[in-house]
Amino acid sequence: RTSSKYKTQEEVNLIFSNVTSNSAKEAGVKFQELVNEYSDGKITVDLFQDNVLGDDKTVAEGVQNGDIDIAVCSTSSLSTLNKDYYLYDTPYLFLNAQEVYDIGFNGETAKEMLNNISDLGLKHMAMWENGFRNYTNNSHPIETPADCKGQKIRTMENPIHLKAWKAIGANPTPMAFSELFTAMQQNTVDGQENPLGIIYSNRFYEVQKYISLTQHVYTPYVVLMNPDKYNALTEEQKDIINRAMEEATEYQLKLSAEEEEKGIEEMKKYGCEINTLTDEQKMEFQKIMEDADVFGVAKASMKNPEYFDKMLEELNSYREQEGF
Amino acid sequence: MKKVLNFLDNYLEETLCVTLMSVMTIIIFIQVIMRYIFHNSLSWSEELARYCFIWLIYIGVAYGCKLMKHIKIDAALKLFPDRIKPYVVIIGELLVLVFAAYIVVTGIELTYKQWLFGKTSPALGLPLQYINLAPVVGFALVVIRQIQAVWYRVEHLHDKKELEVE
Amino acid sequence: MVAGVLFISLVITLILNVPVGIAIGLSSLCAIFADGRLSSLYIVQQLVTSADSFPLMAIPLFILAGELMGAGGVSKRLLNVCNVFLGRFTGGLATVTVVLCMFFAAVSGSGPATVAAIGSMVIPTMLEKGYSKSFTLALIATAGSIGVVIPPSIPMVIYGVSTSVSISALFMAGFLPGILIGVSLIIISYIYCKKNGWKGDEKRYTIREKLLAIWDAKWALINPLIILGGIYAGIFTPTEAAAVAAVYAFICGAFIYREFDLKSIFGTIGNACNTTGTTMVIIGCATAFTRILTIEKIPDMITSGILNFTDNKILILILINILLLIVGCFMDTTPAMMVLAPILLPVALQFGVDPIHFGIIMVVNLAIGFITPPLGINLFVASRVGQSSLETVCSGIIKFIIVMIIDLLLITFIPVISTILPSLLL
Ligand code: NA
Ligand code: NA
Repeated sequence: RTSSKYKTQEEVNLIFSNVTSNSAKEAGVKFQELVNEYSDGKITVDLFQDNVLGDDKTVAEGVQNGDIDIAVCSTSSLSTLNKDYYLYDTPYLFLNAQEVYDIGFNGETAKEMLNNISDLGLKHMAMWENGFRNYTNNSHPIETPADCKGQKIRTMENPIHLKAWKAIGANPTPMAFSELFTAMQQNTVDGQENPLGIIYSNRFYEVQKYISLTQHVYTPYVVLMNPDKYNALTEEQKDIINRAMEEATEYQLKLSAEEEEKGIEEMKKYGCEINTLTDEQKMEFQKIMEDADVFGVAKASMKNPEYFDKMLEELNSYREQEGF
Repeated sequence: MKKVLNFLDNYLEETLCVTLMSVMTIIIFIQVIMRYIFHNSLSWSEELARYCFIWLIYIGVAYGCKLMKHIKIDAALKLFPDRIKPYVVIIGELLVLVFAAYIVVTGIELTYKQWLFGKTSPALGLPLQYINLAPVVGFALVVIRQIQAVWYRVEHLHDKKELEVE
Repeated sequence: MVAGVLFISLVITLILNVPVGIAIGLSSLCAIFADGRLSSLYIVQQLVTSADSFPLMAIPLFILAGELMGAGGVSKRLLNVCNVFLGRFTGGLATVTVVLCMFFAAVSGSGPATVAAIGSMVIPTMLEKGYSKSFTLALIATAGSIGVVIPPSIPMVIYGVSTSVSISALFMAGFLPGILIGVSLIIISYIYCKKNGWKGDEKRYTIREKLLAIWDAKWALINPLIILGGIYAGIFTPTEAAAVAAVYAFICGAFIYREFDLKSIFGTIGNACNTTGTTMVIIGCATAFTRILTIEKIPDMITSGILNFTDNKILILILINILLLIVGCFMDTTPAMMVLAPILLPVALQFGVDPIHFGIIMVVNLAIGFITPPLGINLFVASRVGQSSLETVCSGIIKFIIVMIIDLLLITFIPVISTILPSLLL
């Protein structure tokens, strides 16, 4: 089947599945435009935004099967597929965005680990940003782990997240995302945790008074491509795709940071209380999670746990260099 | 042996479905009780219930075929002269058979792929091929039920009443 | 080209008497061969992933809850309450039937299930009291469609899942439209019964008897409160509410009213399973179908087609209503909702229609589809329950269809009927 579908052709059409976040959507358009420009219209991209072709797991399978050529997915939804992605679910592994870019995405360990996805019939293209996850609720700002005690918080269905929140003393409740807004309105759950972009674009700030920048987990998007499709391209076509992807990625990371700033401003204007946690406060959370061996759980969930240690090592020497 | 086959023919899908439906309902009920009375959200309940649901659907499809109760547009049959109607119905049954066989074959291929990649479910750590097998098993049963249905239709080809019962 | 293959093969398979879900699957398969970009694994993959959804599980559970209520003696007691209070008035039994359907609608998510449960109880009595067969059956077929407007509602679950709109908010929005339809049906039956001289029950009930009827039905009356109260008090999600309702109906039937034995329970759950399988296979195949439509950019084409034709909001809403009414004549609610919601919602959003309001418009349209021939499931169920021909039911249905269309127009052009409750209470 592959032979007939993936021959080298002068004109190429790519089915691109994208997520709902604004910065990713605009970066998708950017990629579409750049590819078109660099190839003089020989390579076209059919862009499907807002997960209309299915949720992350479905589209990733679609890329494996060759139904979709390129897909943007959250690593958290794919960690059952590529168990090394559990690394990115570890709370307080990364402390700021810059070290994510430098080490988490582009460090030696990261590069090797991310490219391993070729074993699963997928080609790694890029890492995009979804952002640090933050805690929102209606009753009080979160400053210490004790503030989370007994709170019914909607989390993702992910063993590491569940373990971490249980260790903090919260009552984590998995729930469909589409029900979350109403559930918060009706207090079926006390709070939720998501990146600022999602909190803002889904108008969660209308039903949640307190947004605490706990920045507990950094959730990235991964951009994946069907390797047969990629390998059937000419060298020149490959260059075009790679160049466009590189530029779209840069654009996405920049835009994502801008959008977070804008979101914070708008939500403050709406009347939300937004509080930042100091590094010491974050360390309190990290301490409890470490005591509960959340790092261990994350490591044990990975296919190649040695990457976890290597990444930590890299991070430590990076932090020393930066005078952290 | 014949007794066993007879039992399977009469009750296989129904028994499986009723069990899956009951388990699914009870798990969700327990989930609510645990959260509201014991303040302890279960992490596995939703996932297990969902997998019961997937199996329920595809065994349920076969059950529908067995009872010949699938939702059809019977009014369309009126477009055909009486003499031809029984043959149209048989062609319809055969098309269902073809679709079911196609799902079984591609379903096995998909399951094999899942197995190669070693995917597991997030909460229970269940290998995902057990879930992907649901349409395979369900539609395999449909294949059997459709063979029975075609056989039945051919045997009653000249029995006019059969179509009116529908 | 692919779009042509998709639709032509769909029509051919439907005419060849293939079940709707499988027909949608077969036409998707033809489209996959015609397109060449999609793999042969596409359909089976979608069959699994589309079903892997917690919100969708509300569907089998509400079906189960409805079956258990009907078989466990819960509905019977509700009938008694309605009769004691409303039976005396002109066309009393007709009013009782409509109100009973509204009650039942508050626990059942399905139109046909409502017809089956209520019809089997009231049809014999109504005929005995001299109501004409065509009126009786048509009334029940129509009142049964309230089952999907008053929450819980299976089409609302499907709309919510396929457009990411909150199901609980949709449920809340369906309340007043459901009551509007109920009241309008009571009015038309009153007029019709008066004309035909169909009087109510002779017997006057004392207050004591009324209270006794309520007391006897207390466990039955609590069930809707548990479901809807539980959802809106924030105790559980719609899916969990459905499970609780099913367990509750089971307990009522088995331990309080003692109307279940092992065999009848098995059969009742079996019925619910059969309905689940035949409904959900449609959803699985329709997911593949809709995504193929998306990849072929057909929704975009339809949207721009409509927008080219007119950009007047009122005209667009009327066009959408007409389209849905026509579709409702030929297609079952589930696949129609599955396929059309993601296509039409973006159009409506462009004109500033509230997504919840639009969901209610779609649900009411498809509720009318239950009673429009040639494919009107409620008509089939009513004729089967009433043991008479389809023609008898259809001969009485036209006045009810007209009333429903008037209700639809009110609901479409007075958005506040749908939006006021969610905005006040949520
Ligand atoms: Na209902
Ligand atoms: Na109809």
